[in-house]
Amino acid sequence: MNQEPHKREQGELELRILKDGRLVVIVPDEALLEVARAVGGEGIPAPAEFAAAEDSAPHDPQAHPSCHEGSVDETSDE
Amino acid sequence: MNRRAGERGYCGLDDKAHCFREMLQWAEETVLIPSHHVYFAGCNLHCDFCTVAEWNEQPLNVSALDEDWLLGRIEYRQRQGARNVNLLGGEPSVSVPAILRLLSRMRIPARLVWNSNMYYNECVGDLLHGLIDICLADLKCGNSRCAEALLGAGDYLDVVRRNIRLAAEHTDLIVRHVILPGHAECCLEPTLKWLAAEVPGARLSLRGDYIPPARAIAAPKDYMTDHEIRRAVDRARKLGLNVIQ
Repeated sequence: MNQEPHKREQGELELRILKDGRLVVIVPDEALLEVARAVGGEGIPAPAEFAAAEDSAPHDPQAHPSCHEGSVDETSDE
Repeated sequence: MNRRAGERGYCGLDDKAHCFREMLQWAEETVLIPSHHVYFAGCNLHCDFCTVAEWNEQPLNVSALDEDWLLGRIEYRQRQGARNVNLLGGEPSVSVPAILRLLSRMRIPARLVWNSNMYYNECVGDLLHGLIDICLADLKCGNSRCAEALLGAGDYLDVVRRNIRLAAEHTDLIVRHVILPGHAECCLEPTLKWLAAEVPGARLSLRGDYIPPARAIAAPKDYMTDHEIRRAVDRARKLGLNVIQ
């Protein structure tokens, strides 16, 4: 097994579990919200709240596949 | 540097913008959420602790921006309840021609958030004057030595402080400082004191969610603790700063 830290590639999702039990999610997009909800995050809206709008959204994932893959739990942008 | 002629700048971009993600974001300052984040690939800093480095190192792997598509997404996110359109990256200023073109075509009265590292020439500020409602300005370091080591920009402080002062004159300014473990004296303290002296009316967002890179070189290798975060917030308030969540 490679012991080197993994260098994240475009579109990959990264989760870290710290020694003190904290969960760090380095990814982003709606997948992050799903994970946060699954681990009991408070105040995060359920997908159903946006379902109606989603149905009518102009969305072409083939044209912009990378826009819908992982992203970071907004901490810093740079 | 002539990007139209095929030259590439430090940011690695060509003459087009490249959007790698857009989403409704809740992990943002309370006054901004839900915020429609529009991420542009490419950056003019090379921060050792960048959380989106994979997009900034190879921005041309992302397809060129389709303005019609993004305008559709902006309208959609507004219908979802987005309080603003939040332009970030990478660093949005390296895509400013495309962003100006995009803004000129927007037909809805969305509030615009300029979510920037503030490291750009004055002409960029001039181009944005009057277009931006909220400036969400990063202020990452408190001295040039750390800026050189962590961000790869020895002149960072002078440039960014100038642009933050200018932004305070014509935007609703929120300064964001990600607290760096082990940098309380060299970065946090000078940053707080400078803000208190130079832009005391600005709101300050102190972020305790620093994520160490997997392969840290100069960047801290630790995470912030609750105690350290509380101490930083207390210090900021003691200096009279308006700290927001």
